[in-house]
Amino acid sequence: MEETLGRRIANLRRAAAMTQDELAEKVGISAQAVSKWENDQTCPDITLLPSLAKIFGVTVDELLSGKQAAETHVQVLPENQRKDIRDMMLRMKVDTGDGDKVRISVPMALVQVAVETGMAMPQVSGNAALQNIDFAQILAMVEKGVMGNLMEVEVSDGTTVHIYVE
Amino acid sequence: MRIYMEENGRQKINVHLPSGLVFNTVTATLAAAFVKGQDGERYTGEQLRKAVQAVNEYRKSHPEWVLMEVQSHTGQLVEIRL
Repeated sequence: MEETLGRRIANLRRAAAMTQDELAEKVGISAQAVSKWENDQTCPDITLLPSLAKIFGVTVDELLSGKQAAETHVQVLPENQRKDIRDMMLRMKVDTGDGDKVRISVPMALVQVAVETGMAMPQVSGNAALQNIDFAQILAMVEKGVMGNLMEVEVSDGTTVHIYVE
Repeated sequence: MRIYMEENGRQKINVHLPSGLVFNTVTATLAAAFVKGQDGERYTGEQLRKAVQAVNEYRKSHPEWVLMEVQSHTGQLVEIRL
């Protein structure tokens, strides 16, 4: 399903644990207007985009395109800027040479449970392109503050694998 | 929890299940008794209960989380949203 601007705004608002009323108040519009955005009946005025982006903690480009900066940059965050591991997501993208696309998003908290209890993750490792992922290594990197693009490889048959944490 | 499948833009399956019914300690315990992994590995009840707890905590704070999306070049789409 295509992710529309409205759906993206709704997801960002929920991720920020905000109601439509709260978002409307921050932006200075009505809750009905927010509802219309989220249902793709209308779009936010262009002058409101910087405010919206600031509220959600993303760039205007990320807000409009849905492509997050975390996909393209890797950064090591100092301890005081790190997110709680319970709010972090490990995303895995596989694009095969045939044109098939697989997207898997696993909460880092679940990766932590799997690593700590020695649990295999066959739904992920069952995918030929992902079977050798070392989750313990990923967890260790994340615990040291590494965020963003952890790995991007292209194999001979044209399959690309992209793993990032946000 | 929503399982959605479409083929060439036409919806084939759209199943909504209460996530609480799927992800709870009872189902985790049952799964530990009956479910085997792809390589025949078993999970303990404790492992699955902790996994369920992690999933539920994330799901509550991040509604509309898309666990998996598979799109084939032939136009099929499968999406699992929690």
